[in-house]
Amino acid sequence: MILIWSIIFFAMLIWYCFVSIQVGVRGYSNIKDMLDDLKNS
Amino acid sequence: MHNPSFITLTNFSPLLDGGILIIYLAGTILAGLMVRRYVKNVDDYLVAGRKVDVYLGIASLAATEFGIVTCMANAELGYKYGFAGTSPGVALFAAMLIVGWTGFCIKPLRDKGVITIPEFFESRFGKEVRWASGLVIVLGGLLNMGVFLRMGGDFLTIVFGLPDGYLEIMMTAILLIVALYTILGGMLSVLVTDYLQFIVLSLGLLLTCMLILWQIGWEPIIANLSEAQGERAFNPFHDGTYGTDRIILDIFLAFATILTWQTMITRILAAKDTKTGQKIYRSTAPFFLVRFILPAFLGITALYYFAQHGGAPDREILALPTFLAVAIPTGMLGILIAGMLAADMSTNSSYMLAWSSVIYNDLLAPIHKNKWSEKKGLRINRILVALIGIFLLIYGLWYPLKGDLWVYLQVTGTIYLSSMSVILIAACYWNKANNWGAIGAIFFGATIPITYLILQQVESTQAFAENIGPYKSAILAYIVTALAMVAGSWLKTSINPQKSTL
Repeated sequence: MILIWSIIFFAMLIWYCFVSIQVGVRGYSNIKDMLDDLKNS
Repeated sequence: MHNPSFITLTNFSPLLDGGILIIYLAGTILAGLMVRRYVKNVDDYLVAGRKVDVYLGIASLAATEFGIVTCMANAELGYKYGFAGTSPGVALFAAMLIVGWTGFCIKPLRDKGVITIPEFFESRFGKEVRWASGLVIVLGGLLNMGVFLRMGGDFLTIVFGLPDGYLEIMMTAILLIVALYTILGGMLSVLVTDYLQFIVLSLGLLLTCMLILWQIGWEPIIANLSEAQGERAFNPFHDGTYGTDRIILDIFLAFATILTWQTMITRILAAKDTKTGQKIYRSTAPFFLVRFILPAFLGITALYYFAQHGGAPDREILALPTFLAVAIPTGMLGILIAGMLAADMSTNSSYMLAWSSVIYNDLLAPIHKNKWSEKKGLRINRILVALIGIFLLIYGLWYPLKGDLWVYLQVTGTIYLSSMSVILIAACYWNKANNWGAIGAIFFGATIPITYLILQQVESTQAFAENIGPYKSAILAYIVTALAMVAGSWLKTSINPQKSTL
């Protein structure tokens, strides 16, 4: 059980690092597009 | 109350850590206020004009559902039950993935283009069901959110090293900052600040976990947990410490939350289309495991730290802030507190907006009948957010929390989660469902958890409430609610077959 939890914990830590960077970069362009859309609507 | 002798023990530096906090707060307030000029009507204010794309949706959903209260509650679960305490996270992860893949309930809901779930119910069950649904959503939601401020205040006073008397000042300060940009910019401000808060929160949480792994290492922490709690720390089914009834409730609650929790479903309703909404759910699902596993790891590390150095607090819920205040070095503590503050602010702002949207859209519907001007609608929405803020401040100050924080959140959430999830499933997939069944479901879904909360508070019935336990009473609420939906619908069809379609 300890091995399973170790795998889950480190897998989640790596996934979180990866997704944080992705969301940080692409979320910003999402905000820009959303505000442009609202401005033009 | 935490141990006053412990108060002064903190690595918080007003200059370095305080400076980091001021930069974060100024940035957030500025961003939140800047976007308010894009708000032209009630739709922009409540669902950001339905223009949310995948990555912003993920940031917003993740930041909203991770607050100080979640972090403290989940760290408490880790501190008390080890990794077995992360069972609700496993259930939420699975439920979100299944719902995101299949579009179960959320597809018909988003396709309908509504602002709230009660609005969706009206087309199937009539105005009375919409109103009653709005009432239980607001009641359950506000009781649930009522403890957020106190927990946030508790956390901050301990890590700042302030005496107990500063709790109320801390609570008021958090609320005022959040209310300022939420009242003015609505969902747009919430989304933009959520994005910033997601980044700061992730940075704080990831750096703290990595620092702990680097300084202490994984093996000593796990060895201490294994020695202190044995097999039960890793297996929720072992010797019944965590309990089968609690696991069953975790599963019920996970599906009900994913389908009907207003702050979560708002991201689906604000998504630019149904496919984007489903993708937001699928992509955010692993975060719901992270949201349990990382705080639980911090709680497990606190257990290790106190075993080595002593100084454990009287209340387990305070284990996390007490540990962080003394174990995290200056500078890093500022980033972590900014992260926690970010988590708390994004949660409070989204929750205030979510409940005000239900009050305006559903409870006040018989009064405004969608005839108010956009300007008047916006003004009323802003007043509602402010009133919810005042309620939170008052309720947060006097409600004495008993038992696990997570259990309180589960019981109060059940007030509406049980009935709303049953009615939503019936509305989407059961042709014979009608308003009698829906009213029965709302009545029993709210009565059982409220009765339990009252029994828990009254001295003469406390022992009785303890015998039943929070898990069995909440499971009972889900089962009885489903039966009431079926029985009520069947009864109406039997008595008056002509009118059974509503």
